[in-house]
Amino acid sequence: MELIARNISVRFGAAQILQNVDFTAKAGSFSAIIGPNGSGKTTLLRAMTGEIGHSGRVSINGQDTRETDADTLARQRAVLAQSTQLAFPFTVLEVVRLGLTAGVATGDPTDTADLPFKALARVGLEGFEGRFYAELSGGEKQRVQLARVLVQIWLPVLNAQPRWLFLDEPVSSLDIGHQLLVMQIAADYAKAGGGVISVMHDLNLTAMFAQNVMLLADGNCLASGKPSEVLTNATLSTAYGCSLAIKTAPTDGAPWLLPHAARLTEHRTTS
Amino acid sequence: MLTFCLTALLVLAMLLSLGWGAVSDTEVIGALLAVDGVSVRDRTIVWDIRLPRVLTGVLVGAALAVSGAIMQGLFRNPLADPGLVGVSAGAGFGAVLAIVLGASAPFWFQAMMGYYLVPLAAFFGGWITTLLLYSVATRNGRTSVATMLLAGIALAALTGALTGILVYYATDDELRDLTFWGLGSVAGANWQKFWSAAPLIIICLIAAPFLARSLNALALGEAAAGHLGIRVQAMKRIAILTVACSVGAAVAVTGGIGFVGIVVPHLLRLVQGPDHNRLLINSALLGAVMLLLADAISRTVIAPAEMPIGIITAVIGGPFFLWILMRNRSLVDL
Amino acid sequence: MMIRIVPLIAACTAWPTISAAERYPTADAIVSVGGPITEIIYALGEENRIIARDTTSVFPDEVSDLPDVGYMRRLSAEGVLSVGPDLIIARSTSGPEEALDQLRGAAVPIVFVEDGFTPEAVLASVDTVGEALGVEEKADALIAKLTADFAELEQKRVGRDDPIRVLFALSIDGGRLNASGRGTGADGIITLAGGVNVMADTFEGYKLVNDEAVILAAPDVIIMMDGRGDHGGRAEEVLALPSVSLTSAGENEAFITIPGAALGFGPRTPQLASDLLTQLETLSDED
Repeated sequence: MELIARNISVRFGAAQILQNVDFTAKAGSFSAIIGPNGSGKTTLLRAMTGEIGHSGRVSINGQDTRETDADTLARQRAVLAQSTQLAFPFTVLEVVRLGLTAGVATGDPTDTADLPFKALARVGLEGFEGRFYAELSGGEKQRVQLARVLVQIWLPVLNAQPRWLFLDEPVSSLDIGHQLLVMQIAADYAKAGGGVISVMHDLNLTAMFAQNVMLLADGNCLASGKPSEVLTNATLSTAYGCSLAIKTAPTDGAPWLLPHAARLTEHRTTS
Repeated sequence: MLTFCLTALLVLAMLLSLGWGAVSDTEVIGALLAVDGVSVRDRTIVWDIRLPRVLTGVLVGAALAVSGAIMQGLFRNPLADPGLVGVSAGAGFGAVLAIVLGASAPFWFQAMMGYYLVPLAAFFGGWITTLLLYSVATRNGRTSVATMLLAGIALAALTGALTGILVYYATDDELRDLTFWGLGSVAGANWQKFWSAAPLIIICLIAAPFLARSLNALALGEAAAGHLGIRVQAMKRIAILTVACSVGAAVAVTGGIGFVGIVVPHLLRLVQGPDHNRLLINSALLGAVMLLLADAISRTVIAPAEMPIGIITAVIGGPFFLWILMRNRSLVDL
Repeated sequence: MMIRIVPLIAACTAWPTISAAERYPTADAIVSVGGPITEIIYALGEENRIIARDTTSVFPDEVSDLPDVGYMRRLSAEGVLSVGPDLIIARSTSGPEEALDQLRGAAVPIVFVEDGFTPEAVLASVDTVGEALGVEEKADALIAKLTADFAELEQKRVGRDDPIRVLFALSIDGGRLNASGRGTGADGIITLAGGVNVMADTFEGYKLVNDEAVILAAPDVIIMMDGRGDHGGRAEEVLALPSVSLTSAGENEAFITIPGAALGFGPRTPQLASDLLTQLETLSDED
């Protein structure tokens, strides 16, 4: 089962943000979208989640997303934004329960009472249920949102259909420990049969966790494939405007980028 | 539990309002049960004056409070007021038109309308401005609540100016009528007015709790709510429609009564939290209680004359509004 | 609904009360709505029958001891009923209609008295109120007295070749005068006092007038109501207005005040008009 995006183009006014981009993600794997600021990564994600209009076609598990109603779509995929505002003094438990809005997250209605608690435990926030969301730190808030998102699509595979987890720079505001925690949760979700698609800034984390990477620049796809194929000096220097030293991590053989050895190339003085 | 307490409180408030006044309690019960020997005067007081007044107060209070809660959920701001959707400015302007130009209307028209002229004009005025604001704020099927707020300010300025022109042409009597309309009153409630407004308000009150799930999700922002399966644009339409109808009908019958829509939901959030599943129902109940209380004060404080109820809700609500503002300094997010 | 038929029948039997000839000689719990009406009742010596009055009833002073049922155009049915009236006498401009309907429904008779700002209107009001109270002889006596007073007033008026040109202002608003046109109590009392209301031809009611209109109208005298504020200060303020200073009134510093009661037409009108006439004559003699 796959998520297939074909010929995605998006315009905002006079600006062409994305130009005929193709993207494929397989269930059971972690796919990352990387690229410099303004390359259109988040726009691509939003087009795939159905948030913004686009030309081209996006299909999830074989169904065109534009022909799927909001409820059904909400049972197939969940989205974790970079940050989330909250207008009213909800408690952590109430926020996590919002993940159940679309209906049952597992096949079994009797599970729903426990799910929020399980989700909070999973993200390391056990005991936080009664706290007020507004009083938490940025990292804690983001983990509460992840718990909510998990509750929405708790089972990675439901009725033989994989479910999809979209993440938009999920760890940018977290400390290293929590970065690893969240990435591991996403990776585990993928291993259990779900599909994970994440916009990433951190190239090393991408290299560590993703099985599939697409590099965007200026609304076009520059390279896609396995991390070792995409994360090369040739492609990265064109995209990011700096020359990086790329080693191999001793632990798992994944590409390992060292900012220490970076050199800015002349044609990218501003980003 | 809270809902149960509020319901009990409401029933109590209704009974007290019915029984309170020059006609004593035993006479009220006699009049209600149609016992012989109750004078025509007392019977009229209970059936034709108090009962429609209490019921109107209940519906209007509920409508204003629920609409306030819906607006706050929609605008994601605890300071939002039912008036933001444009209905109050339009209703006020409709009332001005009817009061000032009504006397110049053809006689047959005046005779036909009777004293429904002002309420009808207020109701349609509210409707027209809401539609106008909605269409200004909606593009490509997407309604921007921020645009609605800003357009509403422009619209209020416009209706204010037009009102000023009409005020210039008004006679003294018309000016007084206008002032009193603006201050609001439940005193003019009779059965005809009640039955003209009640069906619409009741439908809206029944529909409102169905918005609860969507309003909760909307607190995360429109994008997140959409991802959770809420049809956000459709839901906004329904919310605005519900508010315009219920507030329009309420304002048409009682004139301008402010602050109920802000004070009631906020008080409830402090006690029961912001979950709309309970908030909407409890707002209706507490709004009704609050209006009956304000009405009781308006009947007492300068008896046998009556103070317009809008003054009382403003005297209580204004300082309360400021207090909310000072507490929530960090929480303003459009 | 069986229970509702009783008030319906009661309302129907109350129907005759809405016809022209309505006498209630035994009514002694009367609610009087409208300043002039209250004054008439006192002038007829029947004030002990009043049980409550409205906000506009302020004369004589002892009337303020009575409960106040609210502003005449914004009565509350329950408020009025709470004092237990057996008759309501009200100016025809009282309201709102819903409250009056509710009062009729409660089988309380209401007698309406037509408004007006002429001597004829005053006499007609006395007649209506007298009939309602069932004291026609006293009413006739009062009418006779007032007729004589008005006749005397007319005598004083006659014989002036050039009546004094008067501008009445209710207030000053942002440097402009809120002047009276025709159809107001001010217009009526000016006419009775032998003056000419300079704005009578231009508009009805009260309007803010611009400077050119004031200058064109060429008033000899500016009149305002007595009352709040420092009389001397207000005179200065008005006379200092650029428009006023270019008129005869401004040049001669002709500014007088009259009591607010002069604007409501009732039994005191002949006296108040006569007072105003004297004031105007004194002024013109000073020229």
